Amino acid sequence: MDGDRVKLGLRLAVLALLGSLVQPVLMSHVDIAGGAPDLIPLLVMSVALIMGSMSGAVFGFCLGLLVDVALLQTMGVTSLVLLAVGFWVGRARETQDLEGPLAALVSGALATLATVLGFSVLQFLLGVDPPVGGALVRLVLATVVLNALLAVPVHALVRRVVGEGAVAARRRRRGRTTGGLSPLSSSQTGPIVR
Amino acid sequence: MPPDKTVRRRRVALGLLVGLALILLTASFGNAGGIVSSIQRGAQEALAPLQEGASVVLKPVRDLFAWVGDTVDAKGENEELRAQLRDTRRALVEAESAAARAGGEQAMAEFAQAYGLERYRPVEARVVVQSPQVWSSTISVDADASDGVNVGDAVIAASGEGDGGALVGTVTRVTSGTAKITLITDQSSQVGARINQTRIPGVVSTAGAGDPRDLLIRYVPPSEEVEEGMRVVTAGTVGEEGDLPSLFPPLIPIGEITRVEDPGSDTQEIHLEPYADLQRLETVRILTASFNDNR
Repeated sequence: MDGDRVKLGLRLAVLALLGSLVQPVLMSHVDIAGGAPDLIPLLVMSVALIMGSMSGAVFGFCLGLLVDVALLQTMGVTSLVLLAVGFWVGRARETQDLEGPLAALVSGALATLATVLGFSVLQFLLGVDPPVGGALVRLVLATVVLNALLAVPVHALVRRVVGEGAVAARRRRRGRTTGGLSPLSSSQTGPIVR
Repeated sequence: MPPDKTVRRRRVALGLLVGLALILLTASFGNAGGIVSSIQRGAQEALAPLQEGASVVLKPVRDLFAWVGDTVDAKGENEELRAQLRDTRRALVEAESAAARAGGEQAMAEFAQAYGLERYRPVEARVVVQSPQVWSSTISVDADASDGVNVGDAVIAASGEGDGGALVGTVTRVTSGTAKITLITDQSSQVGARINQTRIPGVVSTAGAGDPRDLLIRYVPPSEEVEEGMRVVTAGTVGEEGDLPSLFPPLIPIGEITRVEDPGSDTQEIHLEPYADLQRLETVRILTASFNDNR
């Protein structure tokens, strides 16, 4: 493993640690229009947008573990949800070639929605069965809107932390292969030449 | 690396991650004493000093957000507080006259002591972490077993914090340096309660996910008259001697009834708003001792 990759790994680890600290200590206390911003899916979304599906999935898994540890909750739940979110945002980036602030905004909103829905499905599967009403819908909508607004600055910050080197490396990899899980991206269809 | 090999490698890596997450989930779910829980506690103990440090460093930012929110809410809250003050004065007058009727100053002193919580050895603790999840309402505080904190201890808001002395939740987990508190708005929370004015018993639980200002008091007979503005307090232990005691001492204020849906019917729903502002807790008091089995 070369020095750049070690540096990148360390930067991502610090980013995950900061995210898992700032969210419960600061962001969860904020109450705007009945919702609170959630940095966690935004961080996963940004890393996946910059570095691709596998990096997004691994980062989501690790950040989920940190969150579960920090909040002393059932291990694996947040990891499972965030790895799925990281993977699919990364795949969308690889197949659609999303660029610019609008991509971050839309991805941020969708990643937040997917996180809340994924978490809800897992909670129901685990036997949590509280009444669901309009208040929950309002809270989810408020969080999605707040996160959409925060997505652009968070994405810019993550891009800065991760560094342009990671972006360039990802582009080089994409030049060699589409790199997805889909059979459509196998060698029979040939690599995408850019 | 050929693309098909890359795809295969990614599939394996993704499958491993999903499998690992599922293994963790299975091992951790409902198994507080297992090896995964032990590892989690150890990791959390390592994280706790960082969380406390971050909490202290970020307090000014948190206060700024709270100040902005408070300013926006101030007008409506002011009117609400004035109304509460009127109610409290009236209740105090009623209580004083009742005490006077029951035997003068001695009875008054007993009445005051009944609301005193010193006998429950309260320990003050600072809120370090607040859960960001929609489906769970928990906080972590900087107190642990060395302070006398145990699983099952009742937790109230500290004086001067929202409505001081109001019920917040119970301690559900204690690690070195921190204690996890499950709030009364969590889906797993059930509190034995009663409507103070009429002494009708019930059970307070969440009204639904996502609304920290809405609770329900269940199992109140439809024939009983319930009105908006009535106060709900903890019932304490109401069973016979030797029964399992309640986790909560009696007469701790929980909240105030805000509305009754389908009153008098079998499907009536009595909603109440908690007194404690559970989203903006900074310090809490953990009641570390019980007295007379919380009767």
